[in-house]
Amino acid sequence: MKKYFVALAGLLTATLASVVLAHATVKSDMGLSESKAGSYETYRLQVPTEKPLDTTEVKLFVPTGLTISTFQALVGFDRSVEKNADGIVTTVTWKGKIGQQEFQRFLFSAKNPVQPTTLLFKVYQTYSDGSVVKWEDEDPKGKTPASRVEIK
Amino acid sequence: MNSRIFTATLVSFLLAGVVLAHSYLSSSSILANSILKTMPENLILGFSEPLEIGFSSFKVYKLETKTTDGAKLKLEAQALVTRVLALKNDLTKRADDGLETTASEAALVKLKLKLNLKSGIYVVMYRVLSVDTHITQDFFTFSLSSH
Repeated sequence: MKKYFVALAGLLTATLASVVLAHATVKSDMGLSESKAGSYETYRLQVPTEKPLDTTEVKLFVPTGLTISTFQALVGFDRSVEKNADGIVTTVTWKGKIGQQEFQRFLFSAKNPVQPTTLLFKVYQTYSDGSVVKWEDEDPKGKTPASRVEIK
Repeated sequence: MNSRIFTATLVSFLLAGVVLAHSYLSSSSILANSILKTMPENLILGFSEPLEIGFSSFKVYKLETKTTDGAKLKLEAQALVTRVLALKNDLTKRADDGLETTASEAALVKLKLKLNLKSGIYVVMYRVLSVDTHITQDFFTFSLSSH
């Protein structure tokens, strides 16, 4: 019985945490913050608009070792990528509108690094007034933390 | 009957899987069917999706042929590909000098070409594994003209 309550409390906290912390986050398509080394995974980047303005651009810095293969087609957004000398995607920029009180999800498939590691997903979110929120703090308790996925 | 439908469904699923999520050749520094006056130092192949380089092979061979007929040439090139693409330790017979690309995953692949190659028809062939584990195999030809 006690175990049950602890589990319930844990679940509630987790649910509340995901509601309260409206950060730009990257999770697996299953909603997990972990994935398997060397496997092929679909990820979703979720970006909320948190100002009384529209979000106009989202730029993702792809962590080294993650090989993006394909993107979900997204109506209303123009996507452009930068690649390294081996043709591997290093940044992705989506231009489009995420209105007030809205969020958008950007899905992509990628091959995970072969070795266990922590992937840090840095995201720059641009608003219609030109201001940029940089989700790049490597401290998870920071004000604008970079999203993390543990590769196990 | 049911099992036949099942088999047919399975086959179509398998075929669909083969068609989707493949990495295709999307660019090449030497164009298919082109005629070159000089051989460049390397060949850069671009693919639509990243590849597992360790599980992919890329080769350039000279096609020894006297035919000038396009269809016949293609058949001869195909026969050559069937014969040599899976060969190991065949670098001495090849027109390329191996990979310049050192990354384990890449969508742009650089192949060194040997020096002093003779004029004639060359076959670029590849069998590649995309990072989402699909295999694509194909080839194209180009020619090097005599000066």
